[in-house]
Amino acid sequence: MSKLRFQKWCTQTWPEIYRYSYYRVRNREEAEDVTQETFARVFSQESFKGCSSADLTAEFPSLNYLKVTALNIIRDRWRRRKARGNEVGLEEILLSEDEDLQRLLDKAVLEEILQKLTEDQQMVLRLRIIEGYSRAETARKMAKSEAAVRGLQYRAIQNLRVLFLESLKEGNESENQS
Amino acid sequence: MKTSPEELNRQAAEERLDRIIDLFNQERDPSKTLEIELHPGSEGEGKDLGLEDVAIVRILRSLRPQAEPSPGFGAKLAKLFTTEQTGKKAAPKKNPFRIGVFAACILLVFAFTFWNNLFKGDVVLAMEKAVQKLSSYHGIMEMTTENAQGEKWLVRQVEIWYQGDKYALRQNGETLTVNNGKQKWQVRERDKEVAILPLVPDYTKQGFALRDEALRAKQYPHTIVGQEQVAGREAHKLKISPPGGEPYYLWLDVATNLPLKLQTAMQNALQTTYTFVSFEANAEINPQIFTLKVPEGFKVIEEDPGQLVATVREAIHVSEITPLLPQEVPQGIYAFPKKIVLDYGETSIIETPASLPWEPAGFGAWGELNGQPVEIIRDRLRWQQEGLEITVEGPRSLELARQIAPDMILPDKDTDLSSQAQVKVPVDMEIVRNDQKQVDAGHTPWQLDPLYVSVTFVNLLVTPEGIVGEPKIPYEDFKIGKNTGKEAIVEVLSGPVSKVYLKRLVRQDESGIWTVVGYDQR
Repeated sequence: MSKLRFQKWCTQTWPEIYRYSYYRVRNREEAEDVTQETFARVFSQESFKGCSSADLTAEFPSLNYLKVTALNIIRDRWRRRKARGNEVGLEEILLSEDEDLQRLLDKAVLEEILQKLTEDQQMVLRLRIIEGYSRAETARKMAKSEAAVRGLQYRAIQNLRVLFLESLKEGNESENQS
Repeated sequence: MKTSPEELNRQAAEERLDRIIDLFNQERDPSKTLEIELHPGSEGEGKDLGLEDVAIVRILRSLRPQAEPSPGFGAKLAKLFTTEQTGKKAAPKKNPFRIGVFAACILLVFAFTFWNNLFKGDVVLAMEKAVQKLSSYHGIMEMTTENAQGEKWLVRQVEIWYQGDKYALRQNGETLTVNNGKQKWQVRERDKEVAILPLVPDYTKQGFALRDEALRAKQYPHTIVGQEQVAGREAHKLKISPPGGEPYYLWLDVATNLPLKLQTAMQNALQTTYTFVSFEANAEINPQIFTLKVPEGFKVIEEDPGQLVATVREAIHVSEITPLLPQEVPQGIYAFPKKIVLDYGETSIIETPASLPWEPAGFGAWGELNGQPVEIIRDRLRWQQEGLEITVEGPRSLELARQIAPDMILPDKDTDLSSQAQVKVPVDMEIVRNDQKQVDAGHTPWQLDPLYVSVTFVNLLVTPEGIVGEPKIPYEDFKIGKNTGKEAIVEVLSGPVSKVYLKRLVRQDESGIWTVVGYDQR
């Protein structure tokens, strides 16, 4: 396999894998690490190393294969860091292809769940996480102290955790009934 | 009072969540930094909670656009594996040729690093010279926009013919704007009309985005970051970093040193790219394009084109104002009702009756003439003198302004005003830098005006709970005392504060925001 051909294939495919990884991990550094590890894993495979066919499609793995590899890498990374297996880990929402879990990533569904929080809690999550402001900026915009912002965002996340789990439970129950 | 262990645990969890959010906001992998806290094997409820927090933040972040990968990530990736492959093959045998290649690589890296440092100025200088030397060109420039999801669309396509003081621009194949040095007009296909436009001042000419932006590269720090192909031509890729702003990129033709492409920073999840998809320097241009011809069925409309007059006396007669004149004779005099324009090529002087009260823009620097402020914004000076409002705009503005107003005092940027403040206001530079980015992206433009910044600051001192309705100390009570372009003093006529001291902390030009650094109590 020529260096040029590998570069060409890599250049064509990495943006898709980066986007796919970012969709799950939601930060640039991790998405880049996962993308790099995906190519490293594919690159180290015996079947891949040995091939010398002139046909590009036969020589390089498909995009779907790369995506599955990327997803497995994310799973492995997150599993390594997990203290113990608990019931439905919320990270499963980001990893699973299951529609019921994926539903929570839908903008409308997420907004609906956010609406159940108090106005201050919604505001602090919007400013800190969605808009990306620092704690100091958020405190200034909300006319609160930084300590109050820290406490408020903590309570908001805790409440959101309960709401997510409830939503997942509701989804399971309606599935069982049907 | 002793803090309970539960309280301490809660505080630690709050602090950890806060750090997780910060790391995500910096687009960093939170688990890398928080590895110790999240590592398996440790006891306690907080560990799982930490992971759940990370998951919830990730889910919430699906409501914001994806971040682009780091610049050069793709190239680095492709190179990484091809290098690994070469390395594996090379390992079994060492031969002089490979050592030679290795030495050559080191030499190349060395040369490239030094070339960057030694010649970066020359590339920009060469570009400036090349742009100045250009006698004619014909090109097609495309403006495309791309969003954070990587979707790209064409916003505009402009075909440009340029020769000496003449130019013609066709936008999206429809509107044709022509200035042949004697007349300016616009052929509007959709409305079936030809509009005759004022010849001077010509803002269209100043709006060739690529060329103007290219010249900005000079004033900001810049580095060559690589070489790429643009529209089939080899081009140097320049990274330009405005202080406190997001970097943007400019591509210069290796052969001609002319700018070929400009890419703005991603702002509001949108990024704009201007590219000359075709460009022919010193091209032969059909003179017909610069000749006014009204197509059949088109009506002609005149948009206050003024008239070229031969003498100042004639101009006074048409405009009914008596202009103040520099010693240098203009190339042309244009008279409009209540307006005279003196044409000096790339620089124009516009004189109109003075409107009162005289209020220069706060975002510019302020000079002084006979106790009155002179507004300075880039190469434009504006002031009032003897019942006239005079604007001089263009590269020779200062020289010509001095011929009309020899006593004009320009601001000294190095004057230290803020040290006189009785009360110093602490500044969080992280907030200031973020505010600057917000303004760069088109939000809260009032931060560019020291008056508005002062009104907000003083009224928040008076009513710390927030400004509801009209501010207690009204805008009219704030006047700019001094403005060097870098520092400013705003005088306040009522309330507990008599003076507000401000600085442009991130960038010291018209695009830099003002921050309050101190004040005097009344």
